[in-house]
Amino acid sequence: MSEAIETGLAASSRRSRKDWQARIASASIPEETKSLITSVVRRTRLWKWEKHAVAGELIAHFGDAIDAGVSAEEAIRRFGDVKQAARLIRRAMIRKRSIAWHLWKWIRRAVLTLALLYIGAGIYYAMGKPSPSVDYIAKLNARVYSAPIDDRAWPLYRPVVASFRVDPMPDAIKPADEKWADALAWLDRHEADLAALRIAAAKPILGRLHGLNIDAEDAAAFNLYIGGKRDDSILAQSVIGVLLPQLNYMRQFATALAADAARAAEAGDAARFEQDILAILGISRQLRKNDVFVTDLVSVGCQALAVRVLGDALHRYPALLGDDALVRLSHQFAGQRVAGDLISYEAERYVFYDVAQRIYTDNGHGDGRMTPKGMEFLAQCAQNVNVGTAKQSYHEPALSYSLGPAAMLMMASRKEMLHEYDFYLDAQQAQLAIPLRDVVNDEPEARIQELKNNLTTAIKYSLVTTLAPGLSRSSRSAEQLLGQQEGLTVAMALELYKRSQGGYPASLNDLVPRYLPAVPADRIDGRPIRYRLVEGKPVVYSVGVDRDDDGGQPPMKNGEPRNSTAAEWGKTAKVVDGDWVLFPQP
Amino acid sequence: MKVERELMRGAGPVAVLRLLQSGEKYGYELIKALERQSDGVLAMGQSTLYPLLYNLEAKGLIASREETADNGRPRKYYRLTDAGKKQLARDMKQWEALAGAMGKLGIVGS
Repeated sequence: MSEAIETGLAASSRRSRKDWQARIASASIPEETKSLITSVVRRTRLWKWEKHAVAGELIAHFGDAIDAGVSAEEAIRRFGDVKQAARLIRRAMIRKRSIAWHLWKWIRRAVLTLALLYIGAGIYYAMGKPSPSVDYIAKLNARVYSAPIDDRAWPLYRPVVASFRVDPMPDAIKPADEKWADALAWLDRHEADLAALRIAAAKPILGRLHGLNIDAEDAAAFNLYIGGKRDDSILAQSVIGVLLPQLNYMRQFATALAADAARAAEAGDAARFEQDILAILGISRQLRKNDVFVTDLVSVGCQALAVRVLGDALHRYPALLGDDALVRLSHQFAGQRVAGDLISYEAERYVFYDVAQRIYTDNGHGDGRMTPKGMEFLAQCAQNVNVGTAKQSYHEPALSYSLGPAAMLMMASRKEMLHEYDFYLDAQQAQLAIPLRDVVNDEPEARIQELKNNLTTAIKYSLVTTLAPGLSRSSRSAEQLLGQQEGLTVAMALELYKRSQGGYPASLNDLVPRYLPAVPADRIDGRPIRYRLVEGKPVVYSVGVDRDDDGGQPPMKNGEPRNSTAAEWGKTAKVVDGDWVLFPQP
Repeated sequence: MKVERELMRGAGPVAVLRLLQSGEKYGYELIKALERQSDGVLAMGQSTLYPLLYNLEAKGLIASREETADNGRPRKYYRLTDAGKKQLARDMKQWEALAGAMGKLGIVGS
């Protein structure tokens, strides 16, 4: 009868495989063995159906023992330690689980481990604090502080800034421009300013102190700090956040002087013309190689403007300048042979080093890790915060603390980042010392490209790849200016030759050495610069990037000359047919 | 005589496989067979047999089926799989080699 009951219950328990306790309770074995089985099965902490299976096997085991005549006490004794049995059974049953379960188990463990590691990294990250120890703004300002007050041009420029800001110059620089009449009236109104500019441009250095919070007079002149509130964000205190508002005005000064020179040329006022050109060149000189490279770019731009205005005047009014003036002006360009004579990237290193000390910790040995402050700094940089106007904070702390540890783990350490940047900048700086045509492989740019092409290195060195590009472009600008002023120097020598000899020479070699120290080399192909007479007037040119002598004809597009495209180094994929005309500039 | 646990750990699985070579058996039957055929030397703690069986099953060396016995109690019967047979053959060779080496060292036999 009892067996029948047990059989019925067993069948029932198979239908309900999860009810392992019912299975034990219904078994026809002594109570003490049931207790042991319950204890073992419960301790296994297995899934219910697994417990059900184990319980069934142990019920059978004790049932068989009892049937064999073994007492319940003896069967329990022979069974052994309950805890050990439960542990071993659990371990073995888990091994029997499916591959998918084991895979899922390891995935869970991996995720949990990673999460714990990430939390650990997050704590480590949150504890990091940058400790800027070098005042790079002070380093930039050192030259200004060391210069006598009288050598500084900025105190003379500053009032002109305010004057130009209140009464902006019309958009006209030469007689052919639409608003030339307005420009002439404006020049009349600003006669005193132009005189001040000529005096200021003759000073040895610009002498403006960097830093938003340094000079209240500058703030007033530029009308910064709207509402009287200054920007005290970490970006504003960094070199990268140093405003260069003077650059815009320096460019305006050069433009105003160029317009005045054009008026003087038209009026035949050689002295005023020469003063204006020298003033523009003075502005260019004051900006040159003493500051971050964007300042050098403005310097190159100002000098290119002077070269163009002087070239235009020489072409249109060949007799305007006397022999002495031509010689004086041509000497202004002496000694400028390679891009490194016009631009330098050294101050650019300050920018990067300053960024590094503001985003990384400092372990005292030149290394460190990313910090929350650093993330805040990068967020500000990325969003191009309008430094100087004390605007809102763009920083999202939650985002910083969630992504920051990842950034810390993925980005290069301070030492690695600086090493990569130094390699890039040193190579770029070295390239400035040779003509661009001799740069066979643009190693630094190739390295940047290599970093960008690999996702891991692109993220790891994102700071370098973000802040570094653009330098090659500035060296091309400098190289173009050098070519143009070499063309102008040759043109001035040709004019002097014509005045002396009654006509232009058959060859540029005839100018050497009396009118020209040497015939300049073509910036593109290295051969002597080209020259020919067109309708009785000289044309000085380079073969351009197509390296083919087109007889001084610039590339044309829609009937208009596109001179600049003939000298776009680095864009050889779009080589255009035509020469790079240096004088007269199209 | 009881065998040390570490030795038993190596001997237990091959002993069970060997017992199953002659046909399928259930848990208690295996325990008794081990006791009897090894003169009690390989009598393992009964609680350790079942984990051993589950491990062998997890490795695919044995398989099980459940059947209701004559006494009406559901039992699990274990049998060798093909993989188990191959494993047993390999294990037996190793044990023979081991016993031979032990014999030469004068540890067994003589």
